[in-house]
Amino acid sequence: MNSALTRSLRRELLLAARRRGELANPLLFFVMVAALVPLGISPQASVLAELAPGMIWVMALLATLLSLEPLFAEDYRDGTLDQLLLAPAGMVFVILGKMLAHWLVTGLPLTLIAPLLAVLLALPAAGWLPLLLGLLVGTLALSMIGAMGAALTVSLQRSGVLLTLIVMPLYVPVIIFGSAVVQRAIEGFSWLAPLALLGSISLLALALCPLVVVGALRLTASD
Amino acid sequence: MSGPIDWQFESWAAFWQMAGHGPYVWAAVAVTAVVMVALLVAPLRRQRRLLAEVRAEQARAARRAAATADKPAGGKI
Amino acid sequence: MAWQWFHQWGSPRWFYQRSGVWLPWLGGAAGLLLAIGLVWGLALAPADFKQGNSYRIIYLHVPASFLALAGYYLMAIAGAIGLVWKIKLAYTAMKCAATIGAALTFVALFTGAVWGKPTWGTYWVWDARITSMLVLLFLYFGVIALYQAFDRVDVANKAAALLALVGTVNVPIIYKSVDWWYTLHQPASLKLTGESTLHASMLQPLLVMVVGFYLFYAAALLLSMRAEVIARESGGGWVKALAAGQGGGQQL
Repeated sequence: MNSALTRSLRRELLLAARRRGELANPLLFFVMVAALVPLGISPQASVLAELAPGMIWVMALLATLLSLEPLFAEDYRDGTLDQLLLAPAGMVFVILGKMLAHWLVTGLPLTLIAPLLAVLLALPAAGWLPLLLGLLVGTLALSMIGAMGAALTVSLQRSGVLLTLIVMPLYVPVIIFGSAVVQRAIEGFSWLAPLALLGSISLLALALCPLVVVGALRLTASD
Repeated sequence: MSGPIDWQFESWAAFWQMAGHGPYVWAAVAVTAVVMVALLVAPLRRQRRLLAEVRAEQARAARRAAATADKPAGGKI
Repeated sequence: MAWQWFHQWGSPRWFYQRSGVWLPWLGGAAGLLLAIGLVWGLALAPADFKQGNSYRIIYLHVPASFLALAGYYLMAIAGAIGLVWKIKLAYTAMKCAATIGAALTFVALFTGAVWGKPTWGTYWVWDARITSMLVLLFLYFGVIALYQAFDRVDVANKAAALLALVGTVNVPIIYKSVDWWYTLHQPASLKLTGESTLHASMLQPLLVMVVGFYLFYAAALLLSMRAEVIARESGGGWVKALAAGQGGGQQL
């Protein structure tokens, strides 16, 4: 079972490594939107600092949403998914491998370039570590929850907007606790409580979402 | 004769105005009523339309049957 | 063959006939209770000590909010029944409940907004309950949009049911997180006017309205399901068979 997970993970990462350009797109989106914020609102550091925690989280959410559509679509189109669905054992682990790979190639890089955005948006230094930890934990939930939307819409042409529509309400708790971690840190309060809540959401998503994804792929992909 | 259950308004005008809060209260009542009536009327209309379609289809089928019976050698429909 | 036919179509047909018997009673009781509750709440119940007459919107807002949330769970449970026991009628209930639930969520939001103006001085406040309602409306929209995206009804049924079930796991988490968020951000100017305890003379009409709304919901759901059942079965089922008698479609 574990070998199914590692094999799947290795395969996905290898595939991802072959199309690095595509992988950079969500990151570029992340940075470019950050550059629009001062242009659209105000370049004043005090204004930006106020907005930064929420803005960075909203942008991370949007970047994740943009990267979700191809998660299962390619395997669906070339028939790999049908093969996977036929194999009775370890299906959940293969799918979990794909979902973890998605986090490794989107959520993790988003987390790693977040300090750049923190600088661009004048986030106070007290918020940096909480932002990093929060994104590290929270983007995992974003990938897991988003994968359910990707699986439900896999057989549809042009599923992009619909996928966003059905996933976004499910992201509400993640964004609330994620930005609260940063805000509380800036205001000088303890930020461990929202971080712990965010972590428990991620763990819950990690445990439950793969099962839903498998179910969703069974019903939508096999038609 | 005043208790907890008593007419709260002196006149119809006072009832409509509700001491200045009338527009808000009545807007809420109106929108709620419109939505609720629509929730009842829409399925009824849909059902009537669907049944009418089924009847029309049956009438067409009956006409076609009659036409083929009159002219067995493939007449016009 | 005859048994198979009965098995396949019997359930919706049975539902159509039964619901036709229940509907007048349901509708009559709902109409009666709503009329009593509305007159009682709008004209007979005393005005609120702090809010004056604007609080009377509670008689629409609270029942609509209750049903918006309860309707979501009903929709999800119907979807689960459909997924587990493969009952078509359950999917029909799910689909109809989605539309009705979204409409009542809108009513809850609208009445909340017009209540907010005289109470807080603004139509929209990011209050915990209103925000949760808004997210609930988005969840409803998601289910409806996903349902409509599929060409095949059976796939649409299953996908929407699964999404509705995922939503039920999320709804309590969303409500709790929005509550938590609100305690952090609650502006000092917003006093919790809505929290003042309702006097019994105000509560009684509210209970009447809540029961009336529930009965109305049941009636609306049945009406909507009857239309949906006819739409799904008009092609080759009992609707046609009943109307056409025997031997209708041989020339086709």
